[in-house]
Amino acid sequence: MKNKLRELRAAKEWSQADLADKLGVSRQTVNAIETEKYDPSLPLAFKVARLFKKSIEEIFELDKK
Amino acid sequence: MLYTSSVMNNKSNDPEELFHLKKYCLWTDLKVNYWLFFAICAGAANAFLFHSHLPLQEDYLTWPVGLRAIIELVPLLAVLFWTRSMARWMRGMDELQRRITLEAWLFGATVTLGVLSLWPLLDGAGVSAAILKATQFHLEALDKPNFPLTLCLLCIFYVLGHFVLNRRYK
Repeated sequence: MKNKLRELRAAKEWSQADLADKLGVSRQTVNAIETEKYDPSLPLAFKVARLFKKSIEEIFELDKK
Repeated sequence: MLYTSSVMNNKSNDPEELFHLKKYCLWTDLKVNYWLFFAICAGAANAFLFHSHLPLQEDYLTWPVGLRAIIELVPLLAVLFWTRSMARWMRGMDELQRRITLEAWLFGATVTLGVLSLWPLLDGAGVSAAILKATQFHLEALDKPNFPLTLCLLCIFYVLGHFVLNRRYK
């Protein structure tokens, strides 16, 4: 699954650790989502969407492959 | 309560507090593994008191079978409590770390089961003798699977699985 988490985080000038703290997850999780090695659970995707005041679809995009 | 308090503080349980040398935390280790420690002690005491060459061993076989069964099952009971404390600790983990830990346990359990089931076949095929000849290393312990050996293998393969899976998500 593709996502715009890195761009959104950079726009807010947050480090991965800052974002992890705000979401209540580890920095490793934020890094794994940004590098698209891990797809977040639905509750975490909602948390991310609420934090950036966007819809889930605006942040996460399902691969068409 | 020990485990939920960390969740309430918005800080998830960190598995690296058990395995990472720099992040190791004795308090976390004690919280999670005290039943494992008890199981090992109970198993060792059992082996020393009832299965060694102490005079107690001869009397032991005359004890009621129910009592003997209870004595033999104490380490297993402690391991069940350990599983419960491990499950609670995992519940308080971050979702990615929970996935890594679960996959590592699955890997550890499967490989342990595989090694213990396949060893007699490999031993029969002469692998044990070949290893002894090449490395002077006896693998006699694997001939008779027992509780401490199974636990030891499980922990070794769990740590190995955790290391590999952790690298995958780094």
